[in-house]
Amino acid sequence: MKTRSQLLLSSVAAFTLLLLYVPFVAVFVLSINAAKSGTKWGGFTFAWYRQVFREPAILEAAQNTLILAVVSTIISTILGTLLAIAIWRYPWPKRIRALFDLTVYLPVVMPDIVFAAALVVAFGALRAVSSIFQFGLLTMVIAHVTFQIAFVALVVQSRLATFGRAFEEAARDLYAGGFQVLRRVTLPLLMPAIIAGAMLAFTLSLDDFIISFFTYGPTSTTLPIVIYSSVRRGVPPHIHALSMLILMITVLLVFALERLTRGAQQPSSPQARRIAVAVAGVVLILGTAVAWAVQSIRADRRRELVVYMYSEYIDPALKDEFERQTGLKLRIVEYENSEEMLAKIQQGAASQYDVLVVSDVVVPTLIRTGVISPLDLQQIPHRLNLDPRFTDPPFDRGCEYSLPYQWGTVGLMYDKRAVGDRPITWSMLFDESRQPGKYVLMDSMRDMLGIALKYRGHSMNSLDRDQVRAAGELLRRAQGMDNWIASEGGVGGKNRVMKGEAALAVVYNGDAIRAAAENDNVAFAVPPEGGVIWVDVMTITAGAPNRAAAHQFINFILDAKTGAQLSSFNRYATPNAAAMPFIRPDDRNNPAIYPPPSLQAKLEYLHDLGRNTRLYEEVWKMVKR
Amino acid sequence: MRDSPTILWRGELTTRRSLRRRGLGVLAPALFWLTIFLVLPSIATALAAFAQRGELRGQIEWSLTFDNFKRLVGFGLFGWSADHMVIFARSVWIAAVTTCLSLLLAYPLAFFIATRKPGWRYPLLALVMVPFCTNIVIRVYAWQQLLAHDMPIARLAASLRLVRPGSSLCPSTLAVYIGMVSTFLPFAVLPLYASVERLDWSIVEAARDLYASRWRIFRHAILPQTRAALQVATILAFIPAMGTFVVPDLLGGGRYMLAGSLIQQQFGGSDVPFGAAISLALMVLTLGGLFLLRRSGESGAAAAGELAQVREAAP
Repeated sequence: MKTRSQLLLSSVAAFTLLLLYVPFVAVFVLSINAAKSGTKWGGFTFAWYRQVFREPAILEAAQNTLILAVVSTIISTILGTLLAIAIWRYPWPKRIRALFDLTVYLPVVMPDIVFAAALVVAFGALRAVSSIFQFGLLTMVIAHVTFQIAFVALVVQSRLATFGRAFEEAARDLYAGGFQVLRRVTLPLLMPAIIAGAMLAFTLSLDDFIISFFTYGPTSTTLPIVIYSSVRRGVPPHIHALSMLILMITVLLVFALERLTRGAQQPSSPQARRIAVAVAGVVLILGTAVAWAVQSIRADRRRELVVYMYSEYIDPALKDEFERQTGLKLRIVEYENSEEMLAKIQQGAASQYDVLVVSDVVVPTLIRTGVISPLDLQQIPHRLNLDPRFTDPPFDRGCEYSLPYQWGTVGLMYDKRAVGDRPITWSMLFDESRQPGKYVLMDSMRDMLGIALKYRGHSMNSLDRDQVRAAGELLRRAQGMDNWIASEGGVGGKNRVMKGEAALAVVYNGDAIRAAAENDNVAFAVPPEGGVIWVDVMTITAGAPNRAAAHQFINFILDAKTGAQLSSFNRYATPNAAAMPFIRPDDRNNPAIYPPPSLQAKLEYLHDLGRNTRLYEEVWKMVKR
Repeated sequence: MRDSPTILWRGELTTRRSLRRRGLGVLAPALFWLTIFLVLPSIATALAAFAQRGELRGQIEWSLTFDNFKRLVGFGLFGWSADHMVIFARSVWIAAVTTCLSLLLAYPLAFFIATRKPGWRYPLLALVMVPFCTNIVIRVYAWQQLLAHDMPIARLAASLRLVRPGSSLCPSTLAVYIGMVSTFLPFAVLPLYASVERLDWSIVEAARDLYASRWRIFRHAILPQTRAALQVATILAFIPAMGTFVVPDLLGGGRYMLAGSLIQQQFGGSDVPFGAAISLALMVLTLGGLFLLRRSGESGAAAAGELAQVREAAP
């Protein structure tokens, strides 16, 4: 009998541990697999691990993660310990004590996201007082400390509860002063709990994603944020390696912590004191290192030009070239979609960026709200290189605020083997009888609703409630069909077609064309019903710390050769007429990059709908539900 | 002014008033911090829920309107719809299922670890701690990779005709459940372990001596001793499960909305006041759940004490 229940216990335990570890095994295998995409074994390699150490973005994020964890742990350990001692030691009236207890428990029982949301609102208000509350390391430290305090206080409190007042009374009887009691009796007794609390705070900080995600700024991305955005973008293989490295560090940390807390279990042992001294020493050294690092980052920032643009949107060689020509340091900060960008801008990040590369559709909003300021066109002589079609756009007449970066379309990427010689139309998504296979939609509100409207023969900017709602229902059905795989942002759809998992995906043309260069089985087309055309433009923020450099950057991009190199890199169309001769004839004559006039007539720009955007948002929620 | 009577306090002759003054001095830094960065932000969020969206997406225009709450219960441009209710109900449901499954798996695991030889316990516990301390993004993304269409699990499922061949298991409801359980399970293991380790086995033996059935031993000798820990485990798994958006986002394929995703979507660009209203609702929902839980068992303070025990007992 007993063995049977033991067996059951062991098998459940084994199953549970398996559930926790199997995914890590999968990622480990992927991280040493030489094959770049897909899960076929391509031989053993350490290349992805080496690449991790060559990515400046990852190294910087690692540094930020550490600084954040160390600084917030130090502050929260001090504050949390004081809080616990103060609540425990002094004779507070019952009601007040209950109130204090509540402030300790509140952060523990509040969902992370609610807490993060509250801080976003609060920092918004505090920024009106001082600009130091702009999103960055400082706001992240504040956020982390606030939720760590409670945990430190809880741990210390539980230890305090185990020893009565006798120790202090004895010390008093021996004529110890108040401070002496604290230093010689209370703190040494508490040390194991304080160390455990600090360790907990440290792991909580490393472990946190949600709160960091809500409060990070352009120069303070942490490793989890880097991984999250790469995952949404389609997981380059070195991310597997990075994850494994983080896992290994966690393993080391956990085992070190275990040894430490077990050794420190006996409060007054010399070992506990030695550990306390060691921890203090390490903290001191780390603190100095951190102060130095922060200082050097600050010094660097002064001469830095910060550009905020879509991810993987500029040839790294061009970044080097710009730095070489101007002697300035260029920092490219990436975003995945307009919503993310607008959120960061609204939350006060505008004055932390110099140049914003944004979609045409958001320009009127940015102008109206004073986020961007007029350009000094005299400083941008290369603007004369532009194709006249792009110098008087409806969203910014006369290019007063913006100059075009690149332009492109949204259409269908497809697997030629699945589609065969059938004509490409949007009905391949919306009409179940005509679907050639599995498909991926784009997780982008205006693009997807626009396509559905187009399919129905309406304008993509329709304000007719019934039309928009019908388009939403169409999309909702398309997401319920057997062939639907996912709705993904970034290049997720492209990757699935490349792997042969999907036959169709809604993508930006540049992504698809770059993929087609690697894989002969895939191609791109904008269906004849019409689709989205867009122009991304360069603007300068009103609060740009580095206006002159910002103008230099725009002028640099509009150079004929730079424009051509840009287009050869990301395979979008250039608005730069002078660049055309430098562009490969293959690209120049590719209808997927430069659509023929007959198709161009059917493409439509998305307009900024102002408050009417809510119509689309409500329908979109219905789609996503 | 009335003189505060002199008292003997921990071997020191003093007055209550002077003690409180000194206490406030020690308390001040933390209290100041928490007031500025926790209490006031919470109040600001509650106020923002009554404001309007500004011109730039995400901006707040201060005013007094109940519009956000009307939208929250479903009144939109197209009349009433159940969308938000469905999302909230789904969040509660999935968090509850996740919590139950986690407890079901964690309880035996805690017993298993606690009944090993002392030398084995800590390594095993550390094995649970590692995922607990690994970032949620990494854990969820690892599942995303594992469930991809060309990985062994999806192939096995396809060969068993559970899914169509070539299908990915990843954006699916199943994937969301797997992701949720494996993410929040370690939260439940730790308090349960701490409690099981301190279990008074003499009671179990006494019950056995009195010929209690195995079920009765569990029901009357073991369960009551671990009840507080079960409560803490429930809290620790349920609350983060209610607020998550990473799991449905990465494993649900952009179609699986939870309350957390709704908040993230509002703050991530479109409408901060509406996001504030939703997060207020989420908070009320969670606190309501906690209140029920607290009434059904011991006090929350005991539960929190249990939580702290966990941290000291666990590595």
